[in-house]
Amino acid sequence: MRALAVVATLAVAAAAWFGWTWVSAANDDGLEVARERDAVLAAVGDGLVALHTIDHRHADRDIARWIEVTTGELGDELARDRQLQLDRAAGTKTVASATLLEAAVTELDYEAGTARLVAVLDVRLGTEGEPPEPQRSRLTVGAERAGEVWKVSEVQAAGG
Amino acid sequence: MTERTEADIDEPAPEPDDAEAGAVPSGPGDAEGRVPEHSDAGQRTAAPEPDDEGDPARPPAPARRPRPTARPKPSPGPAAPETAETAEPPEDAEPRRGVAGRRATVLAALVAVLVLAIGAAVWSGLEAQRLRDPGGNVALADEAATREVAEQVSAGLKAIFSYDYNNLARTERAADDVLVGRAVEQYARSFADAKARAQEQRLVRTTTVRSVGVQELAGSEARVVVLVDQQTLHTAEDNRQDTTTAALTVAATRAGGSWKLSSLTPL
Repeated sequence: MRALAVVATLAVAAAAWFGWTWVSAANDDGLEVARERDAVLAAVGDGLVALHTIDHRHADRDIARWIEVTTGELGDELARDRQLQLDRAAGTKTVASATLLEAAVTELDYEAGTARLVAVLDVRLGTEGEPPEPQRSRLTVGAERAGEVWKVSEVQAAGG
Repeated sequence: MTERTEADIDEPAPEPDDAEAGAVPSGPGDAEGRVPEHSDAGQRTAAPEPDDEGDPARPPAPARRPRPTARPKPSPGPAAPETAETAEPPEDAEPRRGVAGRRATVLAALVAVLVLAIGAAVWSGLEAQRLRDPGGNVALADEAATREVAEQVSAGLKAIFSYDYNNLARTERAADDVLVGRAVEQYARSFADAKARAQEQRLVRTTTVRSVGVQELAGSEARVVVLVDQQTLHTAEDNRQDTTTAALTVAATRAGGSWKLSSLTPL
C-alpha cells in the first residue's frame, strides 16, 4: 500500500508537470506567433488567388469574393469600383485564374494585427475567348487582421 | 489522508476545544498562528486549541469523534470513499472487518488517484505536444534567429548576383564563401553565361533585395522566399541602365556559425 501511495504521488506529480507544460505551451508567445504566421499565410494565399480569379459568366460572385478577402482602403476601392469591374469583365469576356507558387511572411506584428508577405503566383488571364496566357506575378502584400481572420490590405506588383 | 480531512472538518467543533483552551490560556507561543483567522473575539479560545492539542491529541481525536458524527451524515458526502470508510460497521459489531474495509477503501482511492493522475499526465502531455507541433518551424516566432537568416541570405544573394565585368573574381570568391551543396553547381551553370555576357558587353550588375520572407526555420535549416531587383549598367552603351525583378526560393543551412545557401530555385 505504501508503494502504491508513492506511485500515486509520483503520478500526481507527473500530471502536474505535464499540466504545466500544457499551460505554458498554450501561453507561449513564440508558439502563438507561429500559429498566427501560418494563419496569415494561409488566408493571404487564398485571398491572392481569389483576387486573381474572375469569370465574366459569374463575375458578380467573383467580385463579391474579392471584397470579402480584402480590407481597408483596398477593400473600399474594390467595393466602389464594383460596377466598373463587372462591366469590364463582361465587355472583354475575361476569364482569369491563378495558382499560388510560393509565399512567405516577411513581417508580422502580432499585437497590431498587421503583416507583410511576399508571394509569387502564376496568373492565367484570357479575354474574348482566347486561351489564357500564363504570367508570373511577383507581389509584395500587406495584410491586416480583421476580427479573427486575416485579409489582404495592399498588393504591389514587383516589376517583371 | 481521509482521516486528516475528517479531523480538520471537525476541529472547529465546540466542546473539547473549549476545555483545552481553558486549560492553556496563557500559552504564549500559540497565539501567533491562528489569530488573524478568528479575530479578537475568539482569539484566546481558538488560537491555542488546534496547535496545542493537535499534535499530541490527534491520533485519538479523529478516532473518537468522527464515528458518531460521520454516521448521521453519509448522504451529502461528495467523496464516496470517505463516507464509506467512516460509515462502516461500528466497532462494537466487528472491528476487524472495519480495518480491512478501510484498507480496501484506501487502496481503491489510491488506485483511483493513480489512474486519474496517469490519465491527466498523458492527456496534458499530448495536448502540449499538439500545441508545440507547429513550433518546429520558428520562422518569425524566433525573431532574432529569423532576422539572422534573412540578413545573411540577403547578403549572400547580393554578393553572388552582383558583378562587375572588371572584377568578376570578386563575385566568384563570394560564391565560394556562401554557397554549399547543390547551390554550387546550380550557380556555376548560370554564372558561366552571365560571366561571358558581362565581359562581352561590359556589364555592371547590382542586385538588391526587395523582400525576404523566411518560410521555414528549424534548427540549422531554413527556407526563404526572396524578391531581388537587379539593376544592370551597360557601360558599353553609354551607361544605359535596366532593371529587372526576380523571385527565388533559397534553401539555407547553418554551418560554421553562419548561414550558407544550399539551393537556389528561380521562380
